[in-house]
Amino acid sequence: MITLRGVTKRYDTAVAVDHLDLEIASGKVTGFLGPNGAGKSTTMRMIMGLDRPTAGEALINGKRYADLTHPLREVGALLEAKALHPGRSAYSHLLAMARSNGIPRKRVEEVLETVGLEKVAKKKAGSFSLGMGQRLGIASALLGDPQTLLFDEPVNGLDPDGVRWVRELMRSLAEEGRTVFVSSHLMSEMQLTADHLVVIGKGKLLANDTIDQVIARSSLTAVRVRTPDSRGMDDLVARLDELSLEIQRDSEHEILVSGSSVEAIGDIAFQMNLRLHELRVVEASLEQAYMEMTASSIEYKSSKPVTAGVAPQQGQQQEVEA
Amino acid sequence: MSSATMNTTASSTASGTSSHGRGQTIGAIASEWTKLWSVKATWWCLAGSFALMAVFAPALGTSIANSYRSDGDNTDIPIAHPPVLAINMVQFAVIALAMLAITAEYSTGSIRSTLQCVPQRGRMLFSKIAVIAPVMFVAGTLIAAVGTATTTPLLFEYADTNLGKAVPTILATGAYIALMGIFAIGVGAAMRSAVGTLTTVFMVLAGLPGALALSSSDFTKKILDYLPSIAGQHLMDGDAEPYGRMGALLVVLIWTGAAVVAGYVVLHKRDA
Repeated sequence: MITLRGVTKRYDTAVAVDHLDLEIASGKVTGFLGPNGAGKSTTMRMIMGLDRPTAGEALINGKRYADLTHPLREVGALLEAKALHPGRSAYSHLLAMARSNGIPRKRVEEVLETVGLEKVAKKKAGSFSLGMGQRLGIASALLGDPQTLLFDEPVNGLDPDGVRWVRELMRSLAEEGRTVFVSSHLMSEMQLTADHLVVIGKGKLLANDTIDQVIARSSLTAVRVRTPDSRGMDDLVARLDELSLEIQRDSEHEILVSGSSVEAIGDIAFQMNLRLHELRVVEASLEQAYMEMTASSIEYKSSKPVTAGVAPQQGQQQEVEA
Repeated sequence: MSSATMNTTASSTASGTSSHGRGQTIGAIASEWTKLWSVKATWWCLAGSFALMAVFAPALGTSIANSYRSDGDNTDIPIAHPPVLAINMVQFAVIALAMLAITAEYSTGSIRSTLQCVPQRGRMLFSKIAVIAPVMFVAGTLIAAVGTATTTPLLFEYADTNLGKAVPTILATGAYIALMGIFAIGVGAAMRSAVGTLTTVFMVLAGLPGALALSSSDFTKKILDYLPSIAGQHLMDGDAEPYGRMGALLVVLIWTGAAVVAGYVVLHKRDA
């Protein structure tokens, strides 16, 4: 279990992490999301004792990282894949790590096999591709067979096969009862991997919920209503307006209502004696819910919004929000 | 666990001397040993320093012998003295080894892996010194021995082959190189960048004494004796003046200690 108590990291002018209180439980995969510069990596570095918090404390099983007797046997982390000497072989890199924590040499061979690097173990780590480097980083995280694991952007540079492998690895580590804390900017990946989400923006906690809760809470989760009766639709819109619900009229016959439920709208339509051909919940994707949540805390914004390549309803739904 | 016990653990492990921490310190040392010998740079530095010594010591020995011959001087040259003079150059090849042990960690980012393995800064620094110092001592001693062996035949009638003089000089060379290795690790931990460390070490060991030697004032000459490389020459040669071999050792030790303290303070204060 990872516990953050009022963890704050302040640099000369900027606050990178602002009073973060969190408990990351064991037995599940906790996704750690946030825009670039939100403070994800800084938070992970503070948990790992690399950066010192300006205030508060980050604890692993109740202890600070530096107070762990054999840290690698309790916490494994992949922070940067290339945190290694490029001239050293993958095997020597892992062996040096293992020796520092009294981990047997046999374990080095085991983890190399687990990540599929046994054939290139004697090659210089500097000659590795991004994906191989990532696998070596994962091997070093697994080395001490730790109960707590942190992964900063683990699927970076991996091919689809590798992505699926990492996903399955995270799931199986969590199923074994371990604490798995994974940062990512790939929402779709998190939707598949994580049970629980922690979202931060500008160093502040924005959400700490299950994925379902995060999606349900989004204003972009809406109800689609379709009727063949366009005059009846005008009346329905007027009625819903009175309830000050957010309505987007897509056509004469179709609307999208947020902030309500199918039950409520169905009842209203029934009272108005309106024939409906469609009444259903349109769920926001995790990506949409996330974008909405972090919209105000994006550090590096592109000057022109680019909407291409996202889910089909994205364009329409953004209008709802506007 | 109460906060009081946690504090004890933190302070005792930081110095690497707590009883349950002994195994961990040994682990940290084993890890540094593995890291040192698993990069090519280590072997290049060692090979380079032996090669440099094998070139410089005989050249310097020959030139001293020749100048004595032309001056009609009858003074004998201690056979381990030309290698001591050569150390002024050769030391940088050996010290580079120690420097790289810490600065390469910062330039490659592997320091973050190292600190994940050994999060106590003091123990990490100590384990590096515990590995580098003996290696440097052995390398320095062997280099001096090689320099002495290759130079002796070229000194001809001027060779002072008194082993009672030569052996202490050779061992003192090992000690000086070991201490300068620790010095370089301290400077490296404080500066982090390879270029910054190299520049600082070079300035202190060669640049500063070179500049001060140009001055004719007695005061600057006195300062000169308190610089680590000049004190190192006195230490290796076993000069009675100005402060004897033990005094020379003390001067070098003070420089080394200061660098290690600076390195530890920076490691402790700055984020990795």
